Amino acid sequence: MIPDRANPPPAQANLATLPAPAELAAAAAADASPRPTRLVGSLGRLGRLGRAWESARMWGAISSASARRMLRYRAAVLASIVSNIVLTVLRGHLALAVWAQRPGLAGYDSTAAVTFTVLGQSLVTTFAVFGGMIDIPWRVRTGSIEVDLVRPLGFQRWYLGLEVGRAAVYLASRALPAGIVGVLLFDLRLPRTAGAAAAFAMSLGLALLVSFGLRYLVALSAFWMTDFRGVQAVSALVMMFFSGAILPLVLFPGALGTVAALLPFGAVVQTPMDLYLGTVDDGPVRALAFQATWALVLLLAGQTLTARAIRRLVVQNG
Amino acid sequence: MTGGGRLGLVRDEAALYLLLVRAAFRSAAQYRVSLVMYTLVEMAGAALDLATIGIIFAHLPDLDGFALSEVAFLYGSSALAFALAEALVGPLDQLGWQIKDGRMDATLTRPVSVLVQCATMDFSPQRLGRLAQPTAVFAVSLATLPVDWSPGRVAILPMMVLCGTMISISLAVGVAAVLFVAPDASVAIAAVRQGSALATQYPLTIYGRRMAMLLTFVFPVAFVNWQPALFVLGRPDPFGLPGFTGLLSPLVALASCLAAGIAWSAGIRHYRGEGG
Amino acid sequence: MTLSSDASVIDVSEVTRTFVLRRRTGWMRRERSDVHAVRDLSFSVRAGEMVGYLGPNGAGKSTTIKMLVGILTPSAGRLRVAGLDPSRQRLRLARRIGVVFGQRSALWSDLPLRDSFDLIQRIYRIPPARYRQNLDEFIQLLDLASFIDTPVRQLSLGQRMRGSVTAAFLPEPEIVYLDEPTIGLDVVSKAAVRSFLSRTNRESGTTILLTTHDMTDVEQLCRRVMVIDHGRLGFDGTLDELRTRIGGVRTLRVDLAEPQPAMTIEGARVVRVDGARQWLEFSAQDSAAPLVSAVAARYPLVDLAVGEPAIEDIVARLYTTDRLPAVPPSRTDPDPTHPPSPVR
Repeated sequence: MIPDRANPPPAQANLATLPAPAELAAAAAADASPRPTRLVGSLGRLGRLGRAWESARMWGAISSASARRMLRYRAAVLASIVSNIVLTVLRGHLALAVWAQRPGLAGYDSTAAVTFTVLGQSLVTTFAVFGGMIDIPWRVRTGSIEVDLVRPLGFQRWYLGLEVGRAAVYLASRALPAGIVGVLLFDLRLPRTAGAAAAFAMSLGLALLVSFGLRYLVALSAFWMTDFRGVQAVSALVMMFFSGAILPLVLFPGALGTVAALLPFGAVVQTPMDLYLGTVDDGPVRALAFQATWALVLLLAGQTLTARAIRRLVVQNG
Repeated sequence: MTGGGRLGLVRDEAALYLLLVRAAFRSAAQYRVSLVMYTLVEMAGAALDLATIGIIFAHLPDLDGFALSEVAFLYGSSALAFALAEALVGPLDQLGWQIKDGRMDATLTRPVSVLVQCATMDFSPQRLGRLAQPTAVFAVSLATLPVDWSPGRVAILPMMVLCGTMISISLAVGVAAVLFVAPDASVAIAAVRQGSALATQYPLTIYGRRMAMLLTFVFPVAFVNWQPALFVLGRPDPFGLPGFTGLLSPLVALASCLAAGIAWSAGIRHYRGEGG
Repeated sequence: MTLSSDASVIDVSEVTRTFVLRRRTGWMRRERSDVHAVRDLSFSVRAGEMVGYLGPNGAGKSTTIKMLVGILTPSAGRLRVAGLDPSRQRLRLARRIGVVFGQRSALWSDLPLRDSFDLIQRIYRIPPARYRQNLDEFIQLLDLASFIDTPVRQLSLGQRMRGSVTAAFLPEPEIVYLDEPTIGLDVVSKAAVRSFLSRTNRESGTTILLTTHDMTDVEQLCRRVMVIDHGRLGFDGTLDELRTRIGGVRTLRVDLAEPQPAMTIEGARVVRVDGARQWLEFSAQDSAAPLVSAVAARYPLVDLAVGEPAIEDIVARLYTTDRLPAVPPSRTDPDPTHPPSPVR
């Protein structure tokens, strides 16, 4: 069978798909003014301050896009607001029951214990202690990761930018409403001093870095593993348990408690909570340094592993 | 689907369900390593719940007057009911993605009930693996409970598990029905699962009277295990409900199944497809 | 233009890319085999050229593009794009190139199209005035106005592609690679993308390399054509050269007054008869006029039409044999059982 090539003649068919000559002429006329030189050449003119400002605006725009993308799913946002409130209230009651029987357990009075639970739950959602929330595995599987690699921005930084946007949405839509309900239902404590509040605020930023650092490493493993969900599930469990979100780490007995206090997971929930409640053992500076050290270690490890992951992709193509 | 009236229909659906489950098992057997790994993860996850209870009892002799064996009994029966429910109908949160990806249209045109298809969609043997730990805890708690096992109390145990499973299936299906209208709300399913599991793992008294009444009369998770457990343990209801309340579980289970069925078919009727 | 028009911006010399395939042959045993996606590939592209890169599926087109943007390293050979080594200087190169990866989009699927463009402005630091001017122009040329505020996930394939093309060209890159930019698109989108590419190439001097299945793309856009199959470059030249190289044929379709047996005409050959309609092939170098009068003199002619050869067939012929086959192959992928025999 020979396809009917003569009818309609291809040349004629093509004409129909082209814009009318008049349109082309109009478009050409609109562009009659000479074009300035290429953009690449014009980049160098900004001063150092200008560059920093531009850079800040760029990262702001990336985080904001990441946040707006999430807010598009209104039903999801609504459902998570409600479910987070319910879980917070249930956990708060459990804490109250325990501390009603043993006031002063772990050095907390019952007000501190409920505060710990309610705020801890807020931190769990904001810092995604339940794991995941970094798109890399899906993008590796679908090949969309290639799009990430032709972007003129570092890979790890890009995902950190997205993570900041996500955390902002989770803070506003999950942590705050649950916190407000917590304040209405329970007797919660406020930071005792302005210093404690400031230290808490700083530790939130560091907690985000630690949490991102941990989950980013987990997400990167998708470059090496075809079935990623196992790693994801294990890591989520470990993070959840050792973050102090389920129970304060001080309650962990013996060696388990000692190990838990040294692991990075506590820097995500336990440390900010201790700073908020003013229950840090060796002062706020040490606690912040603990977080900062882990943030640095994890981000550097992430950077090294990113280079290896990309090399693997580029050299072996998956 | 023809023949046999309503009962025949149910029998056909059950046969199809088993057929689809068998197919899922065969395909899952291809990935033995993953299977073992997931099962271990599941067990570790369940162990964390237990560890939490363990840590609480490391510091307290009892929780609101309930001894460790009694809390273990509550935990075991609740976890078993929820694990059975999940083994049977699966994590329905997948449904939201199905709808969003536009795969639901194909599901709706197949001559098998949508619920059976959704329930078997990604059936994996690890769903059954999840039953191991709750069963063990339930068994150990039964052995250690300081209860005088009268025939009545023994008879109520299977009823407790059965009704608990029915109620938790109803909750999952009822919430999943919302996904037909708002497919983004998949989180709600996991939240209800987590929330009701958390609410039933501990004595209901710790949540206060208001919350307890809500969980008894509005979201009847109290009938999953709390009310029958009070009967088994021979305790009066701390909130003053009559002693026979614990025996009402079958009625509550039937009513919630009915409500979930209505919600589900309303959901399917309102499904408009993901028209972009 | 900052680059003189005869400087070459893409230099590929003797590039080979090998993939290692591991196949499971038993419970623990695995078999290893090497597959050459691209073999001894050499070509260069001058600034401002628009090159059509043709070949059937799996011929090595995408592998070439991945190497050119730096997300795949060559196993052997040398590669330079804008003076940079793509895989080593990937990030630096990324600022100067644009890529459209077929259906894999750089757009944010949950957000309105415009949001993706705004983000590109920030990432590539396009001065606001310049950005607005470019965007307005692109909106007009690619007819984006009606859907620029619609979330990308709700767009049709063609609309999404027009968005992706805009995204790739907004930062005014020196070089743009497009992997199958017209595949699966509706007629309007195809036309819009084609006229946009041709105009941007002409007026901004952007170097464009596009892979395609669609021969109309090449006919309308590319003066230069490269043909690849089984990882080897089989042809590099103009479209006309390609036609003559193959010894192209044209088709004359004639409608007769009534069904006739196959005609016998000097200089042409009947390749198909369907009722009163017959198709004759004749050499592309010959004029159609003497043939038409020869037919009209001997047969009751109702209507006729002359068709250009389809490039699919040319490509297939280039690889299956260097002689004109007795019967032209139908419009399918080249027979995989034939070993590739490049005509170079």
